[in-house]
Amino acid sequence: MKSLYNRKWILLLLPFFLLSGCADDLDEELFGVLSPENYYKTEDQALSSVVGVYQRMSGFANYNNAWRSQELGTDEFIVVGRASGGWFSGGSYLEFVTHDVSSENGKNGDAWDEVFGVIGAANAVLQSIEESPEAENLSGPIAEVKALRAYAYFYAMDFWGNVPIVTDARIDQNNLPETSSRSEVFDFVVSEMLSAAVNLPSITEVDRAAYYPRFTKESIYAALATVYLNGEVYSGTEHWNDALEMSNKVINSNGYILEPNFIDNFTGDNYNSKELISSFSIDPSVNAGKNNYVRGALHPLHKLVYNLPFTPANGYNTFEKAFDRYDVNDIRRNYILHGPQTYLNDDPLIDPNGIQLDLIPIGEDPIAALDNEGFRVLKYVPDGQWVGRDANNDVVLMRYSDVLLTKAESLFRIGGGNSTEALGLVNDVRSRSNADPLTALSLQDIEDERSRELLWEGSRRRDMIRFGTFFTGRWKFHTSDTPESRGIYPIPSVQISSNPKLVQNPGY
Amino acid sequence: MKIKFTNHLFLKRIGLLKFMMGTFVFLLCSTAFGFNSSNLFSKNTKVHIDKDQLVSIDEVFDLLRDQTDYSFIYQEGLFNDLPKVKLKKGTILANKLFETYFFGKDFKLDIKGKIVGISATMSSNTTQQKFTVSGIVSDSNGQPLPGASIVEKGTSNGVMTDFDGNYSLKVFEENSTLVISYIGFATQEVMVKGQANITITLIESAGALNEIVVVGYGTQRKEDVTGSITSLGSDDFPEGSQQNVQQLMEGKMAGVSISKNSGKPGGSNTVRIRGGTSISASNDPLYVIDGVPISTSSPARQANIGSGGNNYFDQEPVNPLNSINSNDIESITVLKDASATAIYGSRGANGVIVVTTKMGHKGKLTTDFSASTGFSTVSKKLDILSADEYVNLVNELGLPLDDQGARTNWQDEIFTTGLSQDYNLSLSGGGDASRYRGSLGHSTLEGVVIGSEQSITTTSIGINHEVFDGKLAFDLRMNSSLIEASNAPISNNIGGENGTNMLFDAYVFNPTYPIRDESGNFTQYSQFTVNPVSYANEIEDESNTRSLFGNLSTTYKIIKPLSVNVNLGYTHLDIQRNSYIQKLNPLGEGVGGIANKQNTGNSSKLFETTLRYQDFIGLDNDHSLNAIAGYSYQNFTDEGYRISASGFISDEFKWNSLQAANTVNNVSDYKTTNTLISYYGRINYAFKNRYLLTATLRQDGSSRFGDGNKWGTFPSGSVAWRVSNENFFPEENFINDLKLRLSYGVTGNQEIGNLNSITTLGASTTGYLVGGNRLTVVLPQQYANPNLQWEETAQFDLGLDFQLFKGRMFGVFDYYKKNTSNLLLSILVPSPSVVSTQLANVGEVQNSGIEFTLGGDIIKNQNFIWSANANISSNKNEVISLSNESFSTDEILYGELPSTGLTPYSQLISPGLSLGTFYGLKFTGIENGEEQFEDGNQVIGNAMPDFTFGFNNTFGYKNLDLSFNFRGSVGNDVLNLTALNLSYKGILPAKNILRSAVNDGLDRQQRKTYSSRWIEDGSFIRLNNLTMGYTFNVSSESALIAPRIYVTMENLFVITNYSGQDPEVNSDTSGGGVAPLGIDYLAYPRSKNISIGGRIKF
Repeated sequence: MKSLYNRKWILLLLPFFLLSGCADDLDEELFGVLSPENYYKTEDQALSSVVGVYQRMSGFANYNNAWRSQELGTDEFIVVGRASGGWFSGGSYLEFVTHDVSSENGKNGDAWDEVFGVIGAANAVLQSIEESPEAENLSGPIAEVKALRAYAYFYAMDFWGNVPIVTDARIDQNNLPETSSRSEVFDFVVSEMLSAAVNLPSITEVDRAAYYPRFTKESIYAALATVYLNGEVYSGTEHWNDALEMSNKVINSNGYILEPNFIDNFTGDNYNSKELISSFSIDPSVNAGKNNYVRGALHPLHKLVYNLPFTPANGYNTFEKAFDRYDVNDIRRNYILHGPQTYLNDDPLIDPNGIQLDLIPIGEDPIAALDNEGFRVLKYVPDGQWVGRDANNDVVLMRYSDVLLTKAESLFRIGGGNSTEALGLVNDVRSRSNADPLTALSLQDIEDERSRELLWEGSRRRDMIRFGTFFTGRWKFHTSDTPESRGIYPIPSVQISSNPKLVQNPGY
Repeated sequence: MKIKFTNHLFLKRIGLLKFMMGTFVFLLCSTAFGFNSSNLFSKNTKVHIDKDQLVSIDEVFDLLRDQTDYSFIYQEGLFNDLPKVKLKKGTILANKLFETYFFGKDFKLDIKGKIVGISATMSSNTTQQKFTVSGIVSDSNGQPLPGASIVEKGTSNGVMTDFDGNYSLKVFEENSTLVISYIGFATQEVMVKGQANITITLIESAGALNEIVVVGYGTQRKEDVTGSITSLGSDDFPEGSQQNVQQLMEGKMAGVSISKNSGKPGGSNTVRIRGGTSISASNDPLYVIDGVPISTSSPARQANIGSGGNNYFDQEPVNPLNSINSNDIESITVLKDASATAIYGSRGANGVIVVTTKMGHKGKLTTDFSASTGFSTVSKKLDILSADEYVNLVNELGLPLDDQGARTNWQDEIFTTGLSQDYNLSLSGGGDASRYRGSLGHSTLEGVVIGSEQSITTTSIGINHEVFDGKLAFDLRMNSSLIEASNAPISNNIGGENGTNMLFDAYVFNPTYPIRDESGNFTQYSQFTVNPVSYANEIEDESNTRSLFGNLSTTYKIIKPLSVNVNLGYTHLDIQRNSYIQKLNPLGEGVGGIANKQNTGNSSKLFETTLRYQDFIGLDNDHSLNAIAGYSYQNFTDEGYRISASGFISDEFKWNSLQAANTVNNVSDYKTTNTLISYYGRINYAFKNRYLLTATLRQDGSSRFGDGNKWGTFPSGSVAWRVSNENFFPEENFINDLKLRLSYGVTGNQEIGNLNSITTLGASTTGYLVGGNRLTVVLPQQYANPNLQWEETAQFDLGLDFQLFKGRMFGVFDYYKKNTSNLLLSILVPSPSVVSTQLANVGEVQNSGIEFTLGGDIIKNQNFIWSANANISSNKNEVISLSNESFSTDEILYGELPSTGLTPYSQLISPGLSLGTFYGLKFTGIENGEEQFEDGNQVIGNAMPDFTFGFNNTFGYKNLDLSFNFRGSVGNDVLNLTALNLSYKGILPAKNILRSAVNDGLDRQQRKTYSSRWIEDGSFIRLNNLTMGYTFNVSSESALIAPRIYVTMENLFVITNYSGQDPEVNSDTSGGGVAPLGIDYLAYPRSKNISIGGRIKF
């Protein structure tokens, strides 16, 4: 008995030897996490990453900071702190409004993250796909991602001017990227867009419905038209002819029309619009993006008008000045809510105290504005298809009317102010919205028409800078000139901290 | 006459080394006393007793022979008439053993060199004994003390207590005095005064020499320890407060800094042993429960259930240590220096906390029941404007006023008196072969904020069984628990106006609003400012945490001195978190109610085999050798899911019927595993009990690192010199024990999460439509870093342990220096990049400091005992470098500021500065309504204290006892981010502000700015705990043992200049589950607690 037990310790040691064999088993199991080696075998798989870049980029046209940064500080958009609470955000919006954005402004920092997040995602996807064994068969997705990256660089150049150009997925920590000048970034954007466009399909070559909303050749040409239109701002050299050429490429594709109804570009089924050149798909019902403009812009009482299942947040406003640009019979004017408010059947919209809601111009206090201050833009009209607080209207980045106006401006500037073709183009856009045709054209007319047509579509800041009115114009809270250096936002301090090679923009 | 002659030289046995020992009991009846034994054995000769046992006097002499160099000669059968004596596991001075044994015995010693002859003398016990005293002897916890000696003073008349602590003694005089003694306890004298029944409670003597402490993989006598460790026993824990392992240690251990992150019931603590070594990897110590290291990775994952900057839900991680009932804890040992922690290798760098649960004691069934109940109130409210003041200010500023006519103090509406209850029942007992203990605990604790409460149910089972004369021993322990918590929606990372939570709204909500309108609905202001009371009623957030820690340890004594142990362990922690926002609440409005259901689980399997060798070697047993070698395999699995859904037709569905939702907002699902394989060994060697040496080596292989870096080697060595055991050390010295310690070693840190060394792609919940079809989005998540390797901490420690005045005072002093290199640093990747951070081994951090503990019995007499101890620690932290060959930087921003409009970070990590350095604008005053600053950012404070201290006192007067514990911190700065967010008038009139902001001279346009204006001195001293108790006398016939009642008060007061709620706070402003140091932002308020309770045993 005893001897038996004396040997039993050997049994106890047995697992020791057995498990010692596991010593090499220190590989990590992945459990559903993918790696580049086992993914990107088909074009569909590559596309799953490409659409990830689109999704990140949709903030350029949606409710996010990249969009707000295109509109804040102009005469058509303001976010005011409400006396009832909300939107003061520590004064960070106000800094934009007064052209005094500090390098520590959180909204500016978020915008940087959004824009460079797209570039970073594009670089990572590009590298992963290019390293895939199937890379040769994936030239389409590769070109598409390069086009998106160039588009994002266009935004970076527009906002911060002098930014680092990075095309590697992974930054060498010991060789951090240096700031490139705005004109170098301009050259980069142009050449990348031009080469990417070669490999993208034309809108005329694809099954429009099935391909929507992926970018086409014309999406890039239209972007290039805008880049060239502002070419002097970016590079110091005029590029009116290039802008004209690119506009023509879009127009000559015959892939686009001015939709007879202006508002069809923004409704819940705007994906059918043949005017949209670049847009991002939205469908909250399947958790594929959400459109929050109604929530951001409307007054809480509008909940009753549009039968909204939520209370709007009362944040985004436009100035009286922007509203006053429209003729009374201009259809586009109808999409600015102002003055006494009614139900859709024209019954007055009454608040709980029995007073009809009257939207008045923004007052003198941008920190504690009353709830009914500010006119509201309602292009993305509610169609009742709500999923929670989210609407399903696709968000628009670039429309055909923009290209027409770009061509008009290019012609006008090339021709030294003498262009009947330009006048015709502008009137085409105007007449679609029942605005009286102009009989003659001036730069001011072109600037104003762009404001009317592209209100809240992310174009106004670029336009005002190009026309100079951003610095010298006068509107509420902009009562004196601002220096030209304020045409570029500061590089967020956090970015300089993580990459000391970045150089802060002049004037900050 | 048959003479028994023994001499260890020729009867030598291979003596078992008896290192695993508890305290020691030795008992005997007593009569005459004829010699002074202290001149028999050399001063430091000790005898080790390896287990509790009942032995004959003959066997006692066997022990003495085996372990000393003496021989004894006596007539066989000399001791046959004497009862067996009880020896308790432990170590005793040979002289003490001999003296106790012969105390009052009628024997004569004939000492010739090292040979001792023993013969009988005539009994002197002839006087008439006429009065009988009986009773029970127990320790301060009411645990009966079997084998305590009770002697009538001035006589040789005495008895010992039986197994249940009972005694009965016939004394000569009704007015005589009893002297009660028991090793490890202070000797007590009690006047009989004609009482027939006297209950005696003995108080442990301070700094007992023979204390056994738990170290990694085993136990050691405290006097043999060469590393820096601190331990607490169950006697050190306050009664009646529902405290977890971490809080039990608060203020009691030098070098161990523990601070509650907030006042939330069952909230988490920040525990730092000798400062923080790491920046991005975890700084939490390793917790080892009954030999099984546990993972604390799940709790952080479950913390965040909302999204983005709008997260109003509670984000404090569940504290996994709440799963262990403090009533079940036998001891807590903190391993601090590399010598002590190196046995845990790659997980030892932040220190190791070893928790041992109670096991059964030999004896009849003992039932222990305790119950307490108490209440807590919020310790401080913020000074917010009253409704009238608010109305006046808004009018004064000419702002639109929304006065609803009510006068509501919202803080009063959400703060409440929280009731608590606590019940514990344990059964224990056992015989020679088996011992058992089982316990059941249940407690409920209501928070001081309405809607928050926690209930904990714990069970524990411990079974020890020995077979084959103790050769094979099994030790099974299981601790399981269920923690059910209801959380108030209070978070620390809400930003700007679009973020809000219950506590924030209690500060800012318009005080002219009534709680409910005429129709009984909650009044609401807007979606940015939500009725604080409605949170508690319309937002539900519950978490259920289930845990199981179990292990079976089997020890087989192969052949002396070799034994083998196999330890099989399993741990499981499962956290369910469910929340629901009702449709009507502005936060759930329009979305049709939002349900969130998530589950995070972590389990681990442990297999360990340890070979152990323990022996004395050499002619005089001068060499003691104790060695272990082992293999360990531990595999951890983390898995879980989260579903967020909205659009419910009825609020009744909540999270229980997600199919009723019309939209699934978010689904995430994950599983990861990691494996740690280790080989380890340790040698403890001692020569003549004077020179002690410990060498440890552990090799760890971790699946978390890249191919070439999976294995790490962690060596350590330490030496100690017991100066007081040297011959030259004067015997009659006020210093009776003095030990110098020196150690150096390398430990590691691998707490970086899984899958960090490879490139991964992951799917996201949000898809994208192309051609009307939804496509899944897959994007790269992180880049491979195959070079990732262990973070290493090299630590040097110089220590001094001493005892003065015959053990009445003790002290420990340590100086240490820790250098952590190859820092696992999450580098902010410069944009553009798809990832914002990247983990790499970069740079070096240094911690150095001193720790000093001094304690003892200040007063100790028959009726009154006052013992006290104090500890003080100072740690200096410095970042040495943040660069390596492939990366260099001078600064890393840290400590997120969630409030929109502010610079995003509050702290700077930079070489030359310490971690926790606040960095920003220096505020110089207010001029013309604007804040003025010095140009440029600069260092404006530091969250790390200059030193921390604790001061613990215990008083005993007759049956009354009182203990209290102060602790504090000096020189630490706190960023009062709550005040920053409540002080700028720009938030008026929609939100209320602090009274201090009214006349601060600032214009309403002043931009909210992070600056030194909001950094405050957070030094404090806190009366942490005060307990007063009374132990009743009971008759010896009674089944009851020392019933006791007590009252406990916690956080009675705090003295500080800090203007916020409490300076001891770490708000998780990042929402990531790990709080930066020293930021106070909407922390769940601290409370004062009072509870009363009682304990009975039978």
